[in-house]
Order: sequence, then C-alpha cells, then structure tokens
Amino acid sequence: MNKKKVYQILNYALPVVTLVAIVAIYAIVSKVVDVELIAPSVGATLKEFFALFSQGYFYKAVGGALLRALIAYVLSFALALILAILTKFCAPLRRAFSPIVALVRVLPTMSLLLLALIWFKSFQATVLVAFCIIFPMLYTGFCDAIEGVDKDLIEMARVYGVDKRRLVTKLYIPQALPSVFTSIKSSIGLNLKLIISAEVLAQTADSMGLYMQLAKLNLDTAVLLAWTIVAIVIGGIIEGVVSLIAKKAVKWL
Amino acid sequence: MIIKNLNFAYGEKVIFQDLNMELPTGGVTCIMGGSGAGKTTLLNCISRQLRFDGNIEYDKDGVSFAYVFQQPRLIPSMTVEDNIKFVLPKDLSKEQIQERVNDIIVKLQLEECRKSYPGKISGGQAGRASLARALVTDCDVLLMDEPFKGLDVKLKKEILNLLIPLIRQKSVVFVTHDVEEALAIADRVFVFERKENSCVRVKGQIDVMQCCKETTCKDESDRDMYGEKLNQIRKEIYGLLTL
Repeated sequence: MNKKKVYQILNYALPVVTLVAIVAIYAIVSKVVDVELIAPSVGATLKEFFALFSQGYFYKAVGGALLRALIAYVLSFALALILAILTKFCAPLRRAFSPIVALVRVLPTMSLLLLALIWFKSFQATVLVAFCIIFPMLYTGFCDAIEGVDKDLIEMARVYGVDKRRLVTKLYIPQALPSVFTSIKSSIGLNLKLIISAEVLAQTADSMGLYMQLAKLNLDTAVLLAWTIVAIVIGGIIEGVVSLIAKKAVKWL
Repeated sequence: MIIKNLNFAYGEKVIFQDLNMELPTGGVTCIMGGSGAGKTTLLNCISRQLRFDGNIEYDKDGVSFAYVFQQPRLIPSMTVEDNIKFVLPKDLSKEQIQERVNDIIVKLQLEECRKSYPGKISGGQAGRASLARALVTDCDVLLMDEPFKGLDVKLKKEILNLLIPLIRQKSVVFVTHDVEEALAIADRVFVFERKENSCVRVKGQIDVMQCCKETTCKDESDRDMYGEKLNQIRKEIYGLLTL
C-alpha cells in the first residue's frame, strides 16, 4: 500500500477513532461515577435518543428549531450580502454603518435575549438573537470576501473592456465564493446553537430548547443528553451539506 | 501613437515630466531600461489604467487594447478556454467565439490544457494562455510587459517563435529587460533612463528593422541573431543600458 493510500485511509479513519474515543471516555466516566442522574450510561442515553423518534413532539420541536434557524439565517445572509455590496461601492455608507455592526458584535447575548423577550414573543425573540449574532459575522465575512477579490484580475478585465455584468458574474462572485463559504461554514452551526440556547431561556413552545429545559427540571439527564445528540447530529448534517455544496461550487481549488 | 507632454507622478515621486514620443502604427516597439525607469508605468498610461496629464493620441478613435502582464493574471475559477473567451466582445456569436478560441488554442499549442484550471497548469502553459487571451481579441494596440519573465531560455524561445508570426500585423509595445528578446522581436527600441530624484528621459532610440533591412533580413523571422548588424545593435543597446 503506498503512502498516499495510507494517508487517505487515515484521513477518513482518524475522525471516527476520535469520536469512538470520546464515547469510550464518557462510558468509563459514567461507569466510575455510577450515578444515572449525573452521568447516565451510554446505553441509557442511546435508548432515550432512539425513543425520541417515536414521539410526535420530537418532530415538532426539531421542525420548529430548524424553521427559526432558517428564518434567522436567511435574514442575516440576505441583509449581510446586500449591505456588504452596498458598502463596498459607497464608502460613506460603510462608515455610517460601522458603529452599528461594532455595537451588535459586542452586545452580550443574554442581555439581548432578555430585552428581546420583553419586547417580542418568544418565537421572534429567538430569531432576533440568532440574527444579531450571525448578521455581523456574515457581514464582516462578506466584506472581506469582496475586498479579497484580486485587484490585478479586475484591472485586467478593465483593460480588456469587459462589461460590468460579466465582471460581477464571472469574476467577483466566483472569486468571493471561497471566502463566502468559509463564513457560512463558521456561522451556520453557531446559528442552530444560538436558536436552541435562546429557546431554553425563552421557553419557546414546541422547541428543542424547551424539552431540554424540561429534562433538566425533571433531572432526566439521559433525555437531556439525547436532545444534545439530536442537536449535534442536525448541526453535523447541516455543516456536511454546506461543505458538499462548497466543494461542488468551488471546484477549481 | 503620439505621446505629447506626458506628466505623471506617484505622489511626490515624478515619473514623467513632459515626455514626448512617437510610436509608429504597426510593428513592435520595445521599451527597455533599468528597474524603476517607468516602463510599466508608460504601458499603464497608454492603457488608461493610470490618470495622467498630457495627451496620448492615436491615429483613430476608440482604440482597443490587449495587455500581456508580467504575471499571467488568469482567472482561477475559469478553465484556460473560458479565460480566453472572457475578453471577447459580447456582440460576437457563439460560433464566432468558438472559432476564434479554437484557432488561437491551436496556434499557441494549448489543446492539452484547454479544459484545465490555471492552478493545474505549468508556468509555460499559463504564459501561453495569457498570450492567447491577448491575441484572440482584435485589438489595435497590444501591450506586453515582460511577458517572458521567469521562463527558462528554451521555453522563452519556443513561445517567441509562436508569437512573432501572430503579432506581425499588430501595433505592439513590448517592455523587456532582456536584450536578446528585444533583438528577436523589436522593430525599434527605446531605452529609458531615470536617475534618482529625476524624471524619465528617453536615453536612446534604435531602429532595429531598418538595420535589418540594410543587411540580410527580410522580416522578423529571418533575423540572423548573431550577424554583424545585429551584433552592432546589441552592443549599442548594452551601451545605452549600462552607461
């Protein structure tokens, strides 16, 4: 077997080994602690995890969380993209907008959520919290992506008299894509985490956060861990899909 | 092309002050000179990438340019073929575009890598792709800024042999540091000089083609690179560059 093949196998095998190691370490800890309330066994956790699939509220909670995550992300993405393009071509707008982005970036998540809960219903509050965290991340990422387009290539296109439409579609967009996907990859998982955290505090009806909170109140740690695994799996699937799309879209790298 | 009272400065650093030159239409004009002598700046002024004072007049309106940069500047997200298509005017039909692209790809021997991305091709292929992109356009003025920089002698010679017949009908402004390149391709050579804290001046001008005609050469491809006349010109250029 040549080195390249070994490297390829290791590339796929090592993450699985790490995952198995984490589960094994947890199983040992659970065995040592031997208190189901604090560290339920792997078997009990998995039993609760699979049991969730037979519950009607599970699908409502997951669907609700995904819907809120989708709304928050689409809003953040669209606004960040529009503003990044506008501020690229309008320096005064960029300067005018910079304190708002800076403010939103340093705003503590908890105070934002508590204020949002006072002002809005829990559905809107969770969406608003995720939006306020994700939007500045995406905006900064998109601005960097647009700024990062190779100036030499733009100069080349101008010398050859390439029209603006082709300049945008064939040069700006493909050149910005790798950085855009990096921003998406680093924010899309966080978006779901924020939505679930906000659901916990906002006690949003039919939400993953609410069922996690209920499990905690009922001292049902195995159920809490089962919901956590659900969140990890969903987050993993979303990031996997984004990586796959990125690989297809940025095939020249 | 007539350059009249060209003035240009990078901030406080004056590059051109009332520079006057006349570059005849057709043929290859070589601009030589040391580093920082304003050669690339002149190309950037001609192609209107830089704003300058003064006039650059052409013998017709709406002059179009093609530019071969020091680096190939190929768009990494496009295949070699798409990079060549990218600069063609949109009023051409698909068939016309394909015909032109196929033709230049064959001429510059790029068939092997036409569907490859720039990141996956060799330096020589990237250089030829950049030339193909410039030559596929029906430009009036072809600007070339050290297009063979960094290529080995053999590759440079190969590309020069492919290039010379393709640029015979065009007006070319060719910047180079390499005397042999200039002797192989130029019809006339301008040597620039820029001393510290002063502006660019034309130190010398040599009509290579005239000298060739006086001897044995019929055209560019028939130059005896080591013949008596070209050896004389070689010495003259070296003299202008080193004194």
